[in-house]
Amino acid sequence: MKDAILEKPPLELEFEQALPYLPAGEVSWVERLRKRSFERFTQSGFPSEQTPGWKFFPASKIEETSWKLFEFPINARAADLRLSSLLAKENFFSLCFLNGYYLPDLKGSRSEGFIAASLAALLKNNPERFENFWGHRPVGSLGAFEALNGSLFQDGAAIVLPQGFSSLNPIHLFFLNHPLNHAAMTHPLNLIALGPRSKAVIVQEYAGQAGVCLNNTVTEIFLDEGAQLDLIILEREGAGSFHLGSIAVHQASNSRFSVSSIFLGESSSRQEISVELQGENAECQINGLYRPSASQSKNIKTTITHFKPNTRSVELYKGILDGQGKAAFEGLIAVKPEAQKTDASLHNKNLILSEEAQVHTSPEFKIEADDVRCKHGSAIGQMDLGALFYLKSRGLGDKEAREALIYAFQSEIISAISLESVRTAILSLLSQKSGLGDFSHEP
Amino acid sequence: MLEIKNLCAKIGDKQILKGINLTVKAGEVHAIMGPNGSGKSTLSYILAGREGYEVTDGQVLYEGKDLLSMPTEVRSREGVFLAFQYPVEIHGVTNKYFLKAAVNAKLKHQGKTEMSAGQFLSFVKEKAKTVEMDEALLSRQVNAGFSGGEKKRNEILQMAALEPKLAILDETDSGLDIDALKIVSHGINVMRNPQRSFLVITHYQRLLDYVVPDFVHVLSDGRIIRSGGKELAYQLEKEGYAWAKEEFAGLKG
Repeated sequence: MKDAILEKPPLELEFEQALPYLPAGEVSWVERLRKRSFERFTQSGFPSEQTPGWKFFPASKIEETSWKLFEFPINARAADLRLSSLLAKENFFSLCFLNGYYLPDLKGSRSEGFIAASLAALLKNNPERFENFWGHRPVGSLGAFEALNGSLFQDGAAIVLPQGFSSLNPIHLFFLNHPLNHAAMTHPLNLIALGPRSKAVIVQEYAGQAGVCLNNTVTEIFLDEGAQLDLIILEREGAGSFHLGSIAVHQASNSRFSVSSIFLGESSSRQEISVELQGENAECQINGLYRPSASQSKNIKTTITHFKPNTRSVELYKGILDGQGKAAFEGLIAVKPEAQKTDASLHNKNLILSEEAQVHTSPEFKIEADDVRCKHGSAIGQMDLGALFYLKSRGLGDKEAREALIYAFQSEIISAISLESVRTAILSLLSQKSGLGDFSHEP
Repeated sequence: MLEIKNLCAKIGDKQILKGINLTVKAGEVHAIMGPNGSGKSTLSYILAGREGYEVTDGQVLYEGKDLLSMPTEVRSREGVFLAFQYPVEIHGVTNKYFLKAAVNAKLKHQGKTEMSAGQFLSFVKEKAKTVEMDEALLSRQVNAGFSGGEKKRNEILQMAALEPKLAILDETDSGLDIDALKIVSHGINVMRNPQRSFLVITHYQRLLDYVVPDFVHVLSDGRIIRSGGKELAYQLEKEGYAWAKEEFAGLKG
């Protein structure tokens, strides 16, 4: 009993020990941010499956595990790492991270006219530049894992586009985890800041082998007036790992944000997206697909807040659940009093393939303006027997007919992915997942 | 080709078919007419292999084989085709994916070489031409957002591509305007040949002006109560189904 009182929680010990070695420790605002974030984490504590918005996510398993930060992978090379990517292409501007650490890329193309680099390096050399973004971060509103990320982040990507700059080639952020023989964690922190009327396509790919590891990523996105960002996220981390991806988007007037998130990993994963439409005519499109099978769990929580008039949001998440897979979707659209003429839609559709799969869905609106157009809906269904009969009556076998209907169900999300090479790669992954054959190839 | 003997079937506790007897020879076109609820669609679904029906008595022989013991997809690959009254919309799969999978499933079943994407495209475009269908239909998602007429035309296109031996057309004329009816009928007529049989299920005589049947049967309350030539359809149109029912009751009584 006495020991239990004296013993500090393992994460607190880990934080104290790591603090002097974490990047930009000598920069006072960074150190302050880390400490304030950790206080926030201690204050909020870990969520449980009963915490609203955390259903089915095994947060208590994370709490019970003694985590150590990954150490810097000394001998790793970005060129080798890139081979593990399923999305990398010659024309992509790739930043590779192993266990959360950026690996300098010798072959790498140089970013010209914009910044795309390791956040740790930039913070060290040019901390003032980032103080605007994070120096006064309101940590009080951060969730437990975001606060943990704010205290322990080792590295991440910083992408900053100046006014009017259009990035011709997609920017690819590749995060690969090699789990160790002990429970290891990483907390990547990414910054994406697009200047007025600039444009970018960014692909985030999260991969990893099976093993106990925790990838707790935060991506903070600032879109200035008229900026356009197209974000594609593929999560395919290994069994036994935990993936948390939090995305906070701040949109100025006339900016456009679209994201397609594809969760295919064998991990337990959670995504939290918060979009603030802070300027008139800002719009966002949020799409996602999750496919838990075996005993995997996927948890999605999104909040879109319309602050200003004439803002638009379209959101659609689809889930396909097999085995003992579990998924929870909670979507909230908030329309503030000033946000007249808001146009918003929020939908979640689920296809359940097995008797033991479970899904929880809750789309919600909080509307404080009176002249708005808002629609929402959710659906949970099984394979449509009428459609199955139709396909079989044309000669398709039972398995083939089911695969065709699964393909059909997810196609709405896949076809919205703007980069053809990424779309093809994801389709082929999906085919492997469901044993799909012919349908992924257009005759 | 098809021999239906004393077919009785029910859904749940409701007896729908009460002893159907019908023989269709190769090359013949049989029309089955009858009022709503007489069991016309049930008959077509049972022949095509839809689940949810319990066959309580009788048997169906197709080319001498027990049709009812074949899985749905095998019936199709063996040459049975059902044109649906309400074709199903499948968003996300294009017609050509779907048809290629269907045609290749049949070829594989017959031990033939499957078609490549290129071969299939020329094959199906040719078929579309034969039945005078717009080949633009091929690139659209299966029935998704199609008008009633387009859906029925799509069924005929599928029939043309699958080249069945026995085609069952379930109320293919319902919901069609006169132009669409002509196109659909033309599609059926060009496919008539001495080896292919048709079972045309319809509520109205109108379709039979264009697709002239060899035999007409009246289905009422789960039984065929009268059979005759094409002139029977005109009589039904003029006098309604009541007289046929009364006559049948008189025969029984």
